[in-house]
Amino acid sequence: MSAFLALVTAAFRREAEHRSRILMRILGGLVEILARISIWKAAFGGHGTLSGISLDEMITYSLIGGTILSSWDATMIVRDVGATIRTGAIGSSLLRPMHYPVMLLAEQIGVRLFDWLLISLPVIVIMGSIYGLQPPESLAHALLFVGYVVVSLAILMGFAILVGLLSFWVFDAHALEWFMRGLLAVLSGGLVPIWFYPQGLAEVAHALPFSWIAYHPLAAYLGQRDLTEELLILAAGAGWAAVLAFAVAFVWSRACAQVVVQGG
Amino acid sequence: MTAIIRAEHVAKIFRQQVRRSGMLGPLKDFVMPVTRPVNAVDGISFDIEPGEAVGYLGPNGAGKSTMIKMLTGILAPSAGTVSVLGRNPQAQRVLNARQIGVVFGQRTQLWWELPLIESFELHRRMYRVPASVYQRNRADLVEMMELSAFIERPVRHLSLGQRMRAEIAMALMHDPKILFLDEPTIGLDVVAKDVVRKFLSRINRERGTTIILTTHDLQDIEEICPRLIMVDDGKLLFDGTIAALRVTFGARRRLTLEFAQDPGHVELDRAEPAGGEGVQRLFLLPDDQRPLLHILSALKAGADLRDVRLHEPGIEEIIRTHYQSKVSA
Ligand SMILES: Nc1ncnc2c1ncn2[C@@H]1O[C@H](COP(=O)(O)OP(=O)(O)OP(=O)(O)O)[C@@H](O)[C@H]1O
Ligand SMILES: [Mg+2]
Repeated sequence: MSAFLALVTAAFRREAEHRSRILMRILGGLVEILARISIWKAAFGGHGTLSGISLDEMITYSLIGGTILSSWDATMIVRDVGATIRTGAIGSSLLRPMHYPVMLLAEQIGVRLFDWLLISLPVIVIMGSIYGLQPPESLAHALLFVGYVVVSLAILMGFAILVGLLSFWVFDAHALEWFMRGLLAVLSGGLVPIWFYPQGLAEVAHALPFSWIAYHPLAAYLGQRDLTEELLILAAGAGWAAVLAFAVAFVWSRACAQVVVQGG
Repeated sequence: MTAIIRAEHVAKIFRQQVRRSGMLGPLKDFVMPVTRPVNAVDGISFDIEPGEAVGYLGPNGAGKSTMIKMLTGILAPSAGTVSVLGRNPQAQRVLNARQIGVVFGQRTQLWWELPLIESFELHRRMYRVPASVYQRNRADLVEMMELSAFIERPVRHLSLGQRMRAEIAMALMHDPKILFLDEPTIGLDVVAKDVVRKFLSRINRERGTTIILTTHDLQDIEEICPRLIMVDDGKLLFDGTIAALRVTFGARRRLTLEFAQDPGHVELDRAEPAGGEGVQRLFLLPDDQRPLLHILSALKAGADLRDVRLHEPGIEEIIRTHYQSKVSA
């Protein structure tokens, strides 16, 4: 455990080394949120609610969905794993007494924590003070939301690592990355809540684990469902996270036997 | 004593894709890839006892790095078995990793963005080194490898020589039983090479750490490794001491005699004349351990000997002779 935490901290500190990037990324975040809010304003076009959702709620949805629950950057794992394999740098990781997916997870959590603290938080504070951020429905919903964020992170990381490991077989990590990016943009509900999806697509989204990445946590935050239902859905999300963890372990055991460390 | 490292008929066959030319080449390569087998390691066996220092030698592409990768558990052999500390290093990679130290000269194990000292800290946690052991090892290693001047600097700011010393120090932080080094002196200047060599042979002597290293610098081997394994084209050529190498490849000591005046015909017992005329004469001596005085006593009594020079062929010379004979064969 101590090694895991040390890796998380190391990744966090490594991110902090790239100070000049922080400002650019905050600016980028502000522009993105501004765009989302403008689109929703236009979509609502003066109506009080759409499908029972108010514009204020949608602004809050965009603010959180576009920052801490965003899946955009997580797809970088795929690129990183691909590059590590192509250049043979994977060798250095394999020489350490830890399982590669666990090291990846620790590193990604470090990066994620850094992003939340130094990029998401400033963006939410700035845009929230301009357009207003709704508080969670109740204290219980707030606590549930925290649980959901943990599940969201677990599912996002699990899936990203799983796809990343596929680059042991598929040498072109770029294609994998774009596939994952597109898939998550639609199915996580981070861009558009699943309430607004046509029925068929909504059913698909609900049947897959990706809706726990952004949609379910935000629905809980906004108090769309009662607490018992929330707990059940949260438990289902935790189940999905476990399934993904098993899948990662399985794929890794396969990848291990046939990895070719390049170079030397 | 049982072997700490054992390779039995180990082979590694890579499949290299053959690229086809022409406009449709890439398409054909995609639809129906044609591969060609490369026997990087071809049926090699050896045993290494605890505490040995072994040099693994061979020309470019001989399969040295490939063998090190298999021994450190990051590559599976295509055939044969390797066993390190009684385990299959690939199947039990994590357990194996805890007890070995590895340095790939071409690649870094340090955390690029972090200060060196933090790489050491991370390493300590990953290898679960007890605090007291870590304190002692770090103090020792930092002193021996002279790291204190730059230990607070980020690794990416270190020069190659500084980084290599740090790599080697880190590989020893968890008291590994075996140290694997793939070209540890590549790109180092004379002074740094000397520091590294002295350090490695000291670690081998004092801690009894088993060392296996590959190199192209034969002086590394002369100073660190009493035993030598030579490979070429994936196959084992030689396994033994440097002295045995001389015998096997017939490299003889060369004796140069200088006289005050032309001694005429000179004959030495069992020494082969190898040129020279006038006052200077050359001989090749057989490897029979006879003292030099004994050999010289065969000279005529009146010979006015001015100077005697004995030249021991270094392994570099031996190996060069061998490679050349292979090319001409
Ligand atoms: N991943 C790979 N795919 C295909 N062929 C490979 C691969 N890795 C190595 N080879 C081939 O295997 C042979 C041995 O390579 P290896 O890296 O073990 O050589 P080496 O003895 O370390 O050489 P050097 O002294 O140049 O470092 C070479 O012919 C190389 O082209
Ligand atoms: Mg090599």
